[in-house]
Formats: sequence, structure tokens, C-alpha cells
Amino acid sequence: MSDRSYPNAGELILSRNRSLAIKRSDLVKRGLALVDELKRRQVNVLIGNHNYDDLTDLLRGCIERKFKDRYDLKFRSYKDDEEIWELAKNGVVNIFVLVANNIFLSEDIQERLEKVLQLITQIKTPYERPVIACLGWLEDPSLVARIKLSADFFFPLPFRFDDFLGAFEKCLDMLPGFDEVPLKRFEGRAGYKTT
Amino acid sequence: MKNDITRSKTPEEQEFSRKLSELDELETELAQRELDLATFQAELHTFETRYLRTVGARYAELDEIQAQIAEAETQIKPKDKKIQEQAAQARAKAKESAQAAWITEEPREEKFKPSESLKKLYRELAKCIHPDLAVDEKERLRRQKLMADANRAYEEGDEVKLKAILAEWESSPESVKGEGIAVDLVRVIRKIAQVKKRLGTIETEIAHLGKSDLYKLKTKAEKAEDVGRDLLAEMALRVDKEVVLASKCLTEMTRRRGHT
Repeated sequence: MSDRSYPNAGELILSRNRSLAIKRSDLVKRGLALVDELKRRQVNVLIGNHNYDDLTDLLRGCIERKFKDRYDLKFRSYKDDEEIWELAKNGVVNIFVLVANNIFLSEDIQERLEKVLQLITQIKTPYERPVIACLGWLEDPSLVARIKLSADFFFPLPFRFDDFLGAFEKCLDMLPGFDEVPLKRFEGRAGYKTT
Repeated sequence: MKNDITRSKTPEEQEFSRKLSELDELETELAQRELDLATFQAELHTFETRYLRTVGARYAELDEIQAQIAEAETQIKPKDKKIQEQAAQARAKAKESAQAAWITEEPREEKFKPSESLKKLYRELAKCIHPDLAVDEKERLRRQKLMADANRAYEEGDEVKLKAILAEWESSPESVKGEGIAVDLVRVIRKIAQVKKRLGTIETEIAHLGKSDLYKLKTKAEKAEDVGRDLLAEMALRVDKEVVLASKCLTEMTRRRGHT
């Protein structure tokens, strides 16, 4: 139970009975602690990796094993290029893991990576969502450097899963809980005013 | 030649006018801040009731099961004093939670939403009957009672009751003002001091409530609602899961005890 030495800040209004007010305040404290557990409960993840189901499954499995107790992870899939562009725009996905060389299909790998750069810009522009980019093609150092710069974390394939999971954890920490959403009603001096 | 004779105000009359006008402004501000405080309190009260019904009652249920588990353990190890103590603590906690979560009031609206006319009426009434405008202790006590009635009526959204309190006040002898200028001046200066003091108290109370755990929780619930989440429902769901787990544990203990 909570520490009784703290003043019961809410009792001014809650009850004419001080003892009951303290008991209620204890229940409220428990609720507050529970909120901290709940506030980042659901996280939508998109693993962008066209054709490479094994790698997708592996990444997904590792992420789930490590974080499923702390987060309700939902993995989003996409069926075509159009849908991944839409998901980059609309804010549904919270974390993007992009296997950069296998998202868009075309003959020219450099062209594909240019599109990935645009995709990352799109992801970052409205919502600043975290992006982990993995890359299995490192022939063009300039393109690689640009992808590395645009993503929050970068892993040339192959990589150690521990490092990847460390980066994923940092992405989770970057997500805003609902505490960061500004509240419209309260503004001005003295804390509270009726409208 | 004009023959108008207009008596100029004496210095004390001028001062009295200034003070009256100052008091009038302060009374208006006081009425508004009383309204702010009463609204804040009512909103918190409404939220608390909702919270206790939705989540608090489930915590009470969980604590009851956990107390039963602790008591079942004492039967398994009757000589273990530590377990006995833990069981007593668990039982005390369950009792407290049950008392705290027990809401006797009727369910109210989801949120406290006073109408504009209700707010206006409350402000008008507060301006007339505020206890800090009393000139003696007897009047103060009467005003305090009226103010408490007004607060209750406001919280219940009872406009008729507020109007009745106002009507009662307007027909009472206390509402009649006037006497000598010197006495009136002293009276108005004292009233100004009282109103300023009360304004300070209201600011402190609002700040105090703004720091309360209940307000923090309410704010979180509202912010969650802004992003489409029902925080209290999520909390209830989580506590329900704990209740299910605790119930299974208790059932298992009871079953084992039945076998031994």
C-alpha cells in the first residue's frame, strides 16, 4: 500500500471523511502506477522486406520474444508498394524496420535505394517515427551513407541480433506515450479555469 | 447666472466610492474563482466516482481474493508467524479497498458539464452570499451554510435549488445595506481584505487539487481519450486479468487443501 506519510492531496473534495479519503487516495495511487504499465501498451511494427519471409520471421520472432511482456506488439504486413507508401504516411505504424534493398522491386538497385530514402523521408516527415534500416548491398558508399543518416539505426547485413534488439528497444523508448499529447482544455495561469 | 448647487463629495465619500468599486470588481473575480473551484471539485468528484466504479471495485475484488489466499496459507502453515502477519495485512488491505471502492451515490453523468445558465446563477449567488463578505460571526455562519447548499446544488446541476437559495437571500435582512459613511467605509475595507484572503485560499486550493494524484489520473485518462483510448476500461481489463489469476490460485489452494 502507499506511504501514509504523504499528504492526501485530493481529500479537499473527495470525502467529508478523512479516513475514507485516504483509502480512496490509495486506490488512485495504484491506478496511477497501473497507467504507467499501460501507457505504451500497443505498438504497431512494420517489417519492410519484400520476398524474404525467413528474415522477416526471424526478426519478428526475436522482437516478440524480447518485448512481448512489456508491449502488445502488432506486426503490420503490406501487399504492394502502394500500401507501404500509405502506411508511411498515415501514422498507423509506430516503428519501421526496413530491409532497404528488398522493399521495392526493380532491376536497378540504386533506384530502389533512392525510393527507400524517399520512403524514410515520408515516414519521418509528419510523425517522426523511428526507423531501423538494414542493408545487404553495400556497393555504393555514398548511398549507404545517406541511408545510414536518414534512419535512426543502421545495420549492414549480416548483423548481431543483440545489437538489433538493442536498437529496437531504443526505438520503443522513442515512442510518445499518450502523456505527450497536449491537452486542449488547460491553459493560462493558476492551473484551472472554467470556460 | 446659474443657480445649480451640487454638493461635492467629501473625501471619505470619494474614498468610499473607490472602495466600493474595488470591492465590486473583487466580488466578481471571487464569484468566478469560486465557480472555477466548485467546477474543478465537481469534475474530480465525478471522475473519482467513475474510477472507483470501473477500476477501484476490481482492485477491491482482487484484494479480497488475495486476502483469502493469504488466509489459506495460514491454514497450510499455522505456526508460521510471518505468514500469519501477512494474512492479517492482506485482510486489512482488502477491508480498506472494499470501503474505499464502495460508492453509495447514484451513477451520474460520465462527465460534469455545467450549463452556462447554471454557471451564471452560481456566480450571481456566490457574489451575494459569500461567507467572506459577512460583517459578523453570526452572519458568516449563515452564509457558510448557504454557500455549502449552493455548492451541493451546483455539483448536482440543480438550478431550481440555486434559484431558491438566491430568492431566500434576497428577501433576508442581511441583504439590506447602509448606515453611516464612516462605518460603511470600514466595513467595505474589511470586506476587501476578506475577499482578497479568500481569493488567495482559492488559488491555493486549486493548485493543491491540480497536484493531486486524482487530477493526474484524470488528466491521463483525458489525454488517452484524445488519442482514442479508454484508459479506465484498459485498466479494468488489466485488473480483471489479475483477478482471474488470483482466483485460479485460490481455487487450486482450496483443491489441494481438500485432498490433504
